[in-house]
Amino acid sequence: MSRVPETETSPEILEVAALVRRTLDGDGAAFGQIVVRYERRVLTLCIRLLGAVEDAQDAAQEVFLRAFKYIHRLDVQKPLEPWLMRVTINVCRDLGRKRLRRRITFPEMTDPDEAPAGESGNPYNGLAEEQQKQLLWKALQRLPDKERMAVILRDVEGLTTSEVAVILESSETTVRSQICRGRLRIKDAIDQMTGGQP
Amino acid sequence: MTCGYSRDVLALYVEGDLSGQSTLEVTGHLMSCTECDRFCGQLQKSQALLKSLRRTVADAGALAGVRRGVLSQLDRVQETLPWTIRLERFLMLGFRRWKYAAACVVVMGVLTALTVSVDGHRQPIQTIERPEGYRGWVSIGSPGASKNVYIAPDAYRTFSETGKFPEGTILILEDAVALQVSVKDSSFTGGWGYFEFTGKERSRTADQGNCRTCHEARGETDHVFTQFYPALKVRRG
Ligand code: HEC
Ligand SMILES: [Zn+2]
Repeated sequence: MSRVPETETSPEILEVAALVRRTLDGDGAAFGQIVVRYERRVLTLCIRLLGAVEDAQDAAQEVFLRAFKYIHRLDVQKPLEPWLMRVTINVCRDLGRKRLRRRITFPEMTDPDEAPAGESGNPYNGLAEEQQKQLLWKALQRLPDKERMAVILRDVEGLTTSEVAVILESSETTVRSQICRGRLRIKDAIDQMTGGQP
Repeated sequence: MTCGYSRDVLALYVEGDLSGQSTLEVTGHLMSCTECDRFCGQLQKSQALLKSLRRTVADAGALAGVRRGVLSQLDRVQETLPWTIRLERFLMLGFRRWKYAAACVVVMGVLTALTVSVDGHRQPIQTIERPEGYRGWVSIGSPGASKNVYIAPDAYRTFSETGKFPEGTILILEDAVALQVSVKDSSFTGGWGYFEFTGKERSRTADQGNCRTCHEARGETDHVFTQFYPALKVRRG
C-alpha cells in the first residue's frame, strides 16, 4: 500500500476513478469507500507527523473533508494516494503550527511487517522507551518543516526519493538534500541531548 | 570529517541512497578511516531510532472515529461549498459534457477574476469580468422589449428541482443599454452580489447596495424577480 502503483491503468486507479465520479455525482457512499480505503494510511501519517492521536484524528478528518471539497481537481488517471498524502502534509503543517504544545502520546502498536522491538535491536538501550520517544520527537521538532516532511516520508514511510518528490511537489535533487540534512540534524540533536553518549 | 569526506555523502550512504559506484567508494573508505566509520555507526543508531516510528500505526478505534467524523460532515460540506468551487466543478465537469460547453466559455471569464488559492482560502469576490457567451445559457424570460434574462444551466437545474438558487448561481439581465449580473454568494450582504456593465468595461466591482435594496424588497423568490420569469414559475405554489 505504501507504493505508488506504476502502471497507468492499474485496477486501483480504475476503481478509485469510478468512486470519484460517483462522488461528484452526489453519491456520498462512494466517498465513504474512498475514506475506508485510505484512512489507515492517512491517519498513520498524521500520527507520525503530529504525535498526539487526537490531533492526528482531527487532521485526518480535515484531510478527507478537504479532499471531498476539491475532488474535482483530481486527475483520475493518476493514483489518488500521492495527492492525498500531499493534502495530509499540508493539513498537518497548518495544524502542527497551532498545536505544538500538546503532549505526545505515540500509541505503541506492533506493525506486523516490522520485527518486534526486541531489546537487542534497540539502539539506545540505556534510555527508557518513553524517553527515547521524547528524544526523537524533540529532534524532529527542531527540523525545518520541509526537512521533517522529507525525512518522515523517506525514512519512516519508506517511500522512494522520487515518490517523496511527487508528494512534496519538488525535485528529487531538493528532496535528496533535505533528507541528507535532516538525517544529520537529527543525529546532531540526539547527540546533543544525550551528551554525545547514546 | 578530518579526512575531507563529506558528512552529506555518509548520510546518504547509511540508507543506501547512493549510486552503486559511490557506495563502493564509501565502503572502501570506511575500511581505512575510523572517524568516518564511527560517524556512520552513530548515524545508523539515530536512523534506527527514527525508524522506530514505523511501529506507530493507527489503531481501529482511532480509525473508526475519523470515519464517523468525516461521514457525518459530508452533507454540511456539500451544502456550503463556496460558489467558486461550484463554478470550478461546473467548468471542469462541463468539459466532459458537451452541452455545457457554451456555458463554460462564460464561466471561464468569470472564474479568472476570482482569487482561489490551492488551499481553498478565498477572498470575498469584489470584481468579476464581463461575461460572454451567456446567450447559450437557459433563457428564463423576456420581461420587456429587448430585455432578456439568463441563468447558468446547472443552477437552472437545481432551481427546478428544489425551488432554491444554489450558491454560485449567476443571473444575467441584458437589455439595450446594460448588462446586469447577480451572483449568489453568502459572503455578500443579502446573499447576492450585483454587478452592472454599461459600457465596454472588461470588469466591474460589486455595487454597494442600490441594486440590493430594490431586489430585496420586491423580488419574489430569494431577491430574484421570479414573478416575471415563466421558466421559473414551475415551482411556485
Ligand atoms: C428599482 C428596482 C430595481 C433596482 C434598483 C435594480 N433592479 Fe434588477 N431587477 C428589477 C426588476 C423589476 C427585475 C425583473 C426584470 C425586469 O423587469 O427588468 C430585475 C432583474 C434583474 C436581474 C435578473 C435576475 C433577477 O434578479 O430577477 C438582474 C441580474 C438584475 N436585476 C441586476 C440588477 C443590478 C446589478 C442592479 C444594480 C445596478 C439592479 N438590478 C437594480 C428591479 C431592480
Ligand atoms: Zn573518513
